[in-house]
Amino acid sequence: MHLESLRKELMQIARKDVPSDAVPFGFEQRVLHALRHSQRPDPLFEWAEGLFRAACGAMVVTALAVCVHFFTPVSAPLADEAFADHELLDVALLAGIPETEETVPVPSP
Amino acid sequence: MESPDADIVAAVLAGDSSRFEEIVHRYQGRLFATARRHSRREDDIEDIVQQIFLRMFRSLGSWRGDAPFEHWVMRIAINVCYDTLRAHQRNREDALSQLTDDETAWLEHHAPPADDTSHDADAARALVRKALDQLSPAARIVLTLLEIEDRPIKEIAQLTGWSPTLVKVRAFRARAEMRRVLARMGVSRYL
Repeated sequence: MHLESLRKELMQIARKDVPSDAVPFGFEQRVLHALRHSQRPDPLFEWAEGLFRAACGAMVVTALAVCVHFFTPVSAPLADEAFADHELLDVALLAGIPETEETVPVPSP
Repeated sequence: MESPDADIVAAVLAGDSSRFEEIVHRYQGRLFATARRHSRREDDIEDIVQQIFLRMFRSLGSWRGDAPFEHWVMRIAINVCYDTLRAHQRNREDALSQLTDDETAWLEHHAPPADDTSHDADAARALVRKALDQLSPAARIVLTLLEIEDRPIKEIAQLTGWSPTLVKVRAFRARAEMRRVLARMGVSRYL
């Protein structure tokens, strides 16, 4: 007998072997319990999920910032508008201080 | 009178998840029969059917209502069975050449009438199950749907999500694979 004939014969036997549709006792309750359990949010999982989303967002922002930093052309300041670094620092530091007699520089004679 | 599936689904999606119990009650028998086609161990079968219901509940919103609900249920069932077979692929039985005495006896005087309920028929059924257990998940699924459940190619394509061409190719390979399995089981010497 050829293997293919035997295979077909075994398939015929399997076709006649109709599986039972019996449901084990208590199965319905087991499924409903699992469903209720699956609906309840797991706080640890939610926290981890939020953390992961935040990390993804932070990585995107970082990547954008790096791109902007490296790919933005730096325009050279005009000579008459340019401040020396120490002048810029002075302006930044003194900007918040109200002008009083003590702070107004005395013009040199 | 039973509510139509669509009404129950709508109620569950609207927040009344207790109505899902009706779906469980309605489909559990059919799903157990389907799962028993694809797995032999009763513990696995219960897990498979539970997994099917959980997946149904989670993706209930994806049922569009243009196809019968039962088709959608069966598609999920076949996918879960396929996933389970793939997950247990490494645990397939290794008893390739270990035919029992009854199986050997059946092969020696083989071809009893198919509706024979005798000891011989039990041995033949055991041999079939053993051979099916040795098949790859795709081969087992496609042979079960095509040759045991006698479903058309188009329906198998819908159930599995494979194209009709892929179903035909996999069916061809599955038949060859089963012949190889039978040869490895040592049945050739009885032919």
